[in-house]
Amino acid sequence: MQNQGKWRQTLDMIGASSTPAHRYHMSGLSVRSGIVLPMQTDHRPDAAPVDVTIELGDVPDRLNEFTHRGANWWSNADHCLLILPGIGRFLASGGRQLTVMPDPGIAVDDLVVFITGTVMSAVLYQRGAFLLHASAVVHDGRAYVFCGSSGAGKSTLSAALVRAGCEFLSDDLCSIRHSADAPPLVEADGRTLRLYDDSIRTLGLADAVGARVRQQIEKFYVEPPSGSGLRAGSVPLGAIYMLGDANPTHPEGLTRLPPLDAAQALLRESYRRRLALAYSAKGALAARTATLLKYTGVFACHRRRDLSRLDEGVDLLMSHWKGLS
Amino acid sequence: MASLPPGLVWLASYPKSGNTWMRVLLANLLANGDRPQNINALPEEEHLISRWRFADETLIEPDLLSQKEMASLRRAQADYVAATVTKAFVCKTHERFGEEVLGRSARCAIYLVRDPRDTAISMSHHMGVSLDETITRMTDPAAHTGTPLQIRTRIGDWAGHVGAWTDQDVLPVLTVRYEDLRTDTAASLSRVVAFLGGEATEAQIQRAVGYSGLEELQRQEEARGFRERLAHQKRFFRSGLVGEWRDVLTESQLSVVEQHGLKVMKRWGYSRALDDQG
Repeated sequence: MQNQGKWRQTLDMIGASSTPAHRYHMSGLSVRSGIVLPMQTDHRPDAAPVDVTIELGDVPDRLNEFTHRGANWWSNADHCLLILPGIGRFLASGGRQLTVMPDPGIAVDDLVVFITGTVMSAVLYQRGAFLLHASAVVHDGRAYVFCGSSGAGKSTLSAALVRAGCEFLSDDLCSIRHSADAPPLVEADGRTLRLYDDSIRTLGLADAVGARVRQQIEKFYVEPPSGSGLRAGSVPLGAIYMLGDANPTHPEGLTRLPPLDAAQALLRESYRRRLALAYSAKGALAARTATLLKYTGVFACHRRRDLSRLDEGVDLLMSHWKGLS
Repeated sequence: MASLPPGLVWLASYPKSGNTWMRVLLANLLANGDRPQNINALPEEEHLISRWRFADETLIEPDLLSQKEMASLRRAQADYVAATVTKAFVCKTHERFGEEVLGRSARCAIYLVRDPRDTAISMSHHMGVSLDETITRMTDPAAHTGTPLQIRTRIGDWAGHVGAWTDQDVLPVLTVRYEDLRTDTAASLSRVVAFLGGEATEAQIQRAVGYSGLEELQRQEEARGFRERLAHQKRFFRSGLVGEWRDVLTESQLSVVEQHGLKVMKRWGYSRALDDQG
């Protein structure tokens, strides 16, 4: 329960803007931030040396030399610049530094969701990470990962599984560490859940709700149901699920994807796919995906978008895990 | 081989005005295949209103942005796509034109217009709601659409939609009447290809038209389904009839539609029911 108090304190502090450095644990990295982030503070006495530093500062309005770009971002080997008009500018540098410059009149707390998501992923990719747009829980010592586009129900399903006895591992962004000859591991993470009001009500988590994700957005930071503390280490990967809507061509249920379909699905669900490609040598992402598939099953999980049937999905998955072991 | 010059082209229409049919025609024309194109191979991500594509190109999830912030990034996305696309990208949209959202960088636009009285019947079937509710929606300047897969977009009212696309002076626009497309599909398709600066022989046009007939679309939907069909719909490709409104709409429904859009209707050759009978 002591941990729950710390979560609440941190969630309530969002908006306190720039303060002396806080320590966090993101995707297996130790992070020192001059900005209060919506996640559990890393108070562990044995906290690792700082891997990444986050601070407010000047960010340029262009990268003069870039190798990749999108509608509002530019990247090269050492830098990734993201510009959100009317919101702010963000620079990820050398896999070690994340600099934030809010637009005039914009509060820092209205930017943190971009810092902990897209911009942190750029830092992670600069360090060679493999990231999925996914949430994850732990059951019987194995990590189960749920991929899906925004709105597919990753966070809600993870919270329901935690309510049913699993341990919360990560939300929205999943970092997977793997080598050529060892089973993959899902990195421990300190980010919190993000849920809409209807999911919060269905899950009975009203008492665990913190600040809004952004001032104008009806989505909230929510303390994970178990209130579990930071994990000490990474967790062996059990299986990956691709969440999708059930329809006449895809009935409800779980189906193991053939290797080619699984590889395509994993590429599609790479976290900020174009950044993943920008920071991968040619063919490297495909090779790492193939390595992952040597050890891990990827399953399509088609469900009805119906919160009243959430527990059926939980039962389906927990039964599935028994068959996997 | 039939071809179109590279660049972004909006294929715009109010919903249920022939947009999917034109996509199928162009897909068959450009495929140069020896059999009809699979109607389920018109990918969702080829629409710029795909939520996944928006997040892929801007690195930001749409549900983290206000409507104003979305508009700004959507404009940046459209301009980026227009600047970087290396082949012809004829992009379906039902959105009301606004350069603050769609940008100024597309090459041009094809706009499909259809008699709103027939559109109302088709939309009513498509959405699974009554004709009265459909007509209320068609006369609502604030009407929006959005799905779990597609970002929220402004459709607006029928007359405002037609005017916003056909009267704008940002992009060159060719307006094609659905009724003309039904009457002489080959001639309409040839006009579209010529407007786009493309190349196609008469034989290629005829083959594309043959592969895109309503019977073929219904046959494919019967055999394999159509991914854009909504759950409550019996089928997506229904009748495609012209003038069905004469047998279906009540006098009061006709009155509401015509009161709303008569000026625009007349401009595009759709006479008032009363005048029609006289």
